[in-house]
Amino acid sequence: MFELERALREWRASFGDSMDSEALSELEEHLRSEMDALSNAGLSPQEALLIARGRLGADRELENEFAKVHPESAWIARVQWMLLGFLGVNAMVGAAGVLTQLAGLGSTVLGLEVAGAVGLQMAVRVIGCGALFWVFFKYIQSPHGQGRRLVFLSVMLALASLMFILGSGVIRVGQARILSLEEMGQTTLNGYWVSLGWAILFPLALAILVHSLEKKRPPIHE
Amino acid sequence: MVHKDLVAASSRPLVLSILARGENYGYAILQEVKRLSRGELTWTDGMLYPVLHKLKREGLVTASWRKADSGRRRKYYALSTSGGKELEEGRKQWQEVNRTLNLAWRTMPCLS
Repeated sequence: MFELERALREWRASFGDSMDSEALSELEEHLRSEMDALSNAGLSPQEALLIARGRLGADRELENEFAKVHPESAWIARVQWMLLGFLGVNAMVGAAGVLTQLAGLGSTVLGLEVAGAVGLQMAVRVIGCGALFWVFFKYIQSPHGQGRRLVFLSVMLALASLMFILGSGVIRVGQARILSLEEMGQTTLNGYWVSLGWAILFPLALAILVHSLEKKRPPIHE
Repeated sequence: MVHKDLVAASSRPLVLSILARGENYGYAILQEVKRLSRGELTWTDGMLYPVLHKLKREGLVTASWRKADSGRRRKYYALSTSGGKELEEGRKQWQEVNRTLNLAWRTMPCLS
């Protein structure tokens, strides 16, 4: 069964992030007007949409024409992806930290020698980060992830990072109950200060990203 | 069919002229272009919008979202004061082109 609203959502999602949603709403209104005229001529909604889309022009060409008028929106989209990349790296570093702590805790509990401990740590990190990447890519490819993928991804990464930072701390405390501070070493403690730096940079990047996404929402005038 | 370069060149004065008759929205502007040109001036529909956005950016038109009778929200464009001046200047230039071409054609050697 053909669902018009769903088809229109998919049409909107087929444009790149450089098209702002106000321009898309305007084009969508044009599509609907054209479809009304075609439906009156006896076409089914599906046929009307197909023809209206054809008359509107190729997505890529439209995008290029809009980019000429609004050259800054392409840059805003690029900066958004850079910030998202930063958040992604942050989440990955956090995840790797948690996995390292887990492996460390495991080595301590199992009483492994250096080689065994390093091996365990590497294995846990590789498998864990691989799984995380896999989940991200599956999500981006899914139809649900198409619409507001930037917003959803950044919120998801924010939550994941927060969880990782907390988790890392909890595991560290657990490990410290088994080992003395001297045995854990000064470098481990330095890690706390690095985490603090990330903790400051991270909300900053998130704030800029959310602010720039806010501006892309269509205005509401009645 | 008019060549696409000419269509592109006439798009700005054409849109401004249609808006000079009163505010309007994208779809209706296109219908008006089709009607006035008897379908000889054809645009890919979507290409009107970058033209409108450019005019807005240059301050020649203003735009506002309003609810139409259909219940859907539409973006209406209206000519601004400087848009009116631009249109007047454009009209003079196009009339000059038109006059020159007509004169040139009238003096074309005739074989009969």
